[in-house]
Amino acid sequence: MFNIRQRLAVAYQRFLGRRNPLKKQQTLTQQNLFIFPSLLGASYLLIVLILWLLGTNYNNNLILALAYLMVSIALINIYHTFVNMRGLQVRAAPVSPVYSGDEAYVELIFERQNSKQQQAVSVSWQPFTIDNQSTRERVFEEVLDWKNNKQSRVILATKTHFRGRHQPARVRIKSYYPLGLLKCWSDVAIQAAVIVYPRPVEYKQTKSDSDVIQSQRQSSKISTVMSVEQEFQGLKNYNQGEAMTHIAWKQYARSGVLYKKDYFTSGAQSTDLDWQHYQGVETERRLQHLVYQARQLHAHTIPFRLVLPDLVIEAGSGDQHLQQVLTALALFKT
Amino acid sequence: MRNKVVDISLSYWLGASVLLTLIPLYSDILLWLYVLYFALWYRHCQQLKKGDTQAKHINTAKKWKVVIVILCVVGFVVSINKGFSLQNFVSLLVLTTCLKLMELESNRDYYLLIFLGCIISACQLLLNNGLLAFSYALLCFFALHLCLLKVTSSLHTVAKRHRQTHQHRSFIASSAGGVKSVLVIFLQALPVALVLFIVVPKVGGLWKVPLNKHVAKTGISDELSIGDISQLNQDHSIAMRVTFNAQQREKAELSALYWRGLTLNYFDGKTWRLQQHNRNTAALSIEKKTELSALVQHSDNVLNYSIMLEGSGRPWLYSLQTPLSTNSDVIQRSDYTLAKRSPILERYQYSVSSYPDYQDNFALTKEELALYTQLPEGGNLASRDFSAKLWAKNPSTDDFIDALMAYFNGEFTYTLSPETSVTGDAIDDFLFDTKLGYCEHFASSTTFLLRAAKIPARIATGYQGGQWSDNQDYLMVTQADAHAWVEVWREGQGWTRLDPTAAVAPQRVEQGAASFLRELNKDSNFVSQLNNSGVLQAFRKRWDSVNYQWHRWVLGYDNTMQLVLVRKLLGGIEPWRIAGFILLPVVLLLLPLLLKNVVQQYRRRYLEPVDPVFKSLAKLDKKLARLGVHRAKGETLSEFVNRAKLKQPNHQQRLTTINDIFNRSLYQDTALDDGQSKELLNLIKQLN
Repeated sequence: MFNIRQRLAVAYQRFLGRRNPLKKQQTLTQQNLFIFPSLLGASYLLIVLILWLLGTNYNNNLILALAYLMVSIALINIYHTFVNMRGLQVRAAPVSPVYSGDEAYVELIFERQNSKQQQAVSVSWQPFTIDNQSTRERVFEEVLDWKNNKQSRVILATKTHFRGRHQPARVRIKSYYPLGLLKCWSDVAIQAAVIVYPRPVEYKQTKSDSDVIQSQRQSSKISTVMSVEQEFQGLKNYNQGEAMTHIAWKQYARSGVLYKKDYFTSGAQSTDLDWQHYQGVETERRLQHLVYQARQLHAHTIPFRLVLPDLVIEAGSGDQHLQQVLTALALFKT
Repeated sequence: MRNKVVDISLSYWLGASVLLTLIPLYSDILLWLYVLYFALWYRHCQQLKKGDTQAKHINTAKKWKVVIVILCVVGFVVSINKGFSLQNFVSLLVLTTCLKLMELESNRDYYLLIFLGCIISACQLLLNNGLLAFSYALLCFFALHLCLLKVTSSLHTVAKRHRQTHQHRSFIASSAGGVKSVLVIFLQALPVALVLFIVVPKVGGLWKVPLNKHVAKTGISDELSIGDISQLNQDHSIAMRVTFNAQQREKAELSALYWRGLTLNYFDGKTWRLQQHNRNTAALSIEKKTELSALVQHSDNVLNYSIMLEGSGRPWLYSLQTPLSTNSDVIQRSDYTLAKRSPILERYQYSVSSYPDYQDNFALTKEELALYTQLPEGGNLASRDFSAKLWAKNPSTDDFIDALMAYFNGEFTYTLSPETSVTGDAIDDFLFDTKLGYCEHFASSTTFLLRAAKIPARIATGYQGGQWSDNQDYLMVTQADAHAWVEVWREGQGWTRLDPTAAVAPQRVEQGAASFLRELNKDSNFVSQLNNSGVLQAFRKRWDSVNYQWHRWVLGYDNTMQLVLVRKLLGGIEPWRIAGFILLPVVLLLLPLLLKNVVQQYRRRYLEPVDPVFKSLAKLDKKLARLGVHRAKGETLSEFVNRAKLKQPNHQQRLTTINDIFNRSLYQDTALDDGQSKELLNLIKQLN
């Protein structure tokens, strides 16, 4: 049973993909609108049948006339239901990025051409889709509130699960207007890609990691990633001209290489966020740690540089820089 | 779509609409149902105002509900008359509707109530099928569909996940904005419904239904005793309406219109009766029928007309002399009268062809001769004596009749209020004492005298004449036109009509009963004067004309009429014609929409200004295609230009510039100025 339903759903999605592909802005036309009698419409026809039987058996032409009137109303209703929906335009406002696992809020902008159109239109995510988590439960519906304007906005929340570029499911726009006898709907795919950052996770150093750090020291990289609460962050290669007071003499004595002690300062000094710091950590996890670190550095307004195997973002600070870094991490290709 | 409705204005609308459907039923349903309806509706509105949703309240409410339901059902069972009747059925529907008011919560409950209203409104038409009743039913349907629109457009979405009610009120739910929308739908649906009504074939009743209508037996009965018809003559209600074929309207002269209903052949001294189980009521033999129909088909002197008879509770039908009816449920009887197979409870329409010249000159059998000269053993001795003397003076049938008519014409007076007979011998009293009488006196005594002289005779009853409607398109026959006359069997001619009333009061026959009676009533009381006054009569006639057309064309619209009308309208009854006829209003409706679409597309394609960049792009594609470089689907401009450069090395420089300009304008959102676009076009032109 479920299998058939699933298969049907898949077939429907494939059909939609062909007929109604992803677009930046969708306009409802007969190309993408579907009409089918609702449950109420079926009951309405049942009433027509009852009236017809009544009229036929009692040989009463007036009751038959009423039955025909109801049939005609149902027929005319097809046209009115379609016209009510036709011409509605929908696009998405740019969606703010979220951390994976959070809900992204997709703002849909609806525009109508005629102030009498588009009564009682509800908007939701397309139900019964495989990738939609709300397969079984009822989807949340918003009703367009025009307030006599030509534009109406609706915000739909969608749960994100993975980092990267997330295209939300199709949007179902539907209406039973005017008489509720027919359901007119459209499942439109609107470009509303959300950048989903990896979820920030703090890096907790385990004992077995100390060997790794040792080897890192040898390869003249940052030795420890410490929590931000400490003033002392770690050791860095000493460049000529830097303050002599920050030189880690102990380390120099041990290895013969000049290190400087890295402190949190708001000056021109910057920190590296390097892919290589987390040797042995699984890729996704690494990205999560990097996000965490970037956020911490950003919170303390410390400039930092991102070094990934295929990309380097030069040191900087501020919201834009953070966004750039997080986006790079979100879109990192393994 | 089970959503909770919280908008109280919806309840007001729905309550009023359903009440509207209940109003015309006041005489048919139990009156306490109205009280129940009001009480439960009031309670519902109060509850909605308070927003009563606490669980405790609901529980106590549940107990109350059970009590109310039990009380109602008991009350219903006690107060209905036993047995199933239409009235009880409607009462039950109304009771259901009332009880539904107790649990009016989600939009589904509202929808159910609306549908119940539709059915009740339709049932009302079973009890009253006048034009006004139908208009009222349409009004009810309008109101109910308005409610449907309001419930649908006031989407109150309750999201389970968010556990909060999003109340949304569109302008339709709050204002009267929906009226226009529903009106538009109705106006568009009406022509479609009309076409369906005209075209869709009528199926006979699928199963027998009890039409519990007690129709009082009115009009002419199958008995005639003196004084019966003069009672009818005070009654101005319509007995039947007759529409003649347009060309034959002129042929129908009022004085010649004797609407025969039945013939009475048995006299017991007081009352004339139709003796059952004899040839009169037997069906006409097939040979006679075919003979008659052959004559009707080939003769010019045939009257074709259709009659709409009011419900009389009796089976007989009225027709002009020698009728032939093709209706399937009409029996043609051997005395050339018509009858329906079952009593006429509602208005009944049938069409007849009458052939006035037809004569069935058969010889009477011995039994028939005995039947038609039958008289009771004793009584009315003076009349018998008078008849014998008259026969002695005029020993032929014709002479006898002439002498009798002359006798009536000389000494008798036609009156509406004859004295009642004191002795048992009513005919003796009339003939020799009062000499005041009405048509049944004359008919009855004439038949008696004829029979006493051994001339076969019988009484025919029915109506005579009628009144033309204002625009002369149909004849109204009222109960006041009821009449009785004599039929005499003459050698070689068969049964012939003899109207003794015409001999006494020829105006009665020539002017018709209405005007004649008006003259007679001149100095009678005020009410009957008012009844006969011009204004009232004119109004009555006008209204009757509307009502008649309603009954004739709408209520009486059956398969026969359908066939004729559809053939007339469409020129045939082939399926494609009918399909076309049904599609016609749909097409007329959709055509404007289609045209609008076409015009919009045309505008978009030809009239709206196109970005010069896209124009140049199209030109570039064309030019390069001529040079043998075709742009593949999905290929970007840069890829395309690079491919072109390889194929056309001499244009490399130009193509690079073109590509740069395009990229700048397409992807950097800086519109080209005039100089740039000219340069672009020039460059493209140079590609040769």
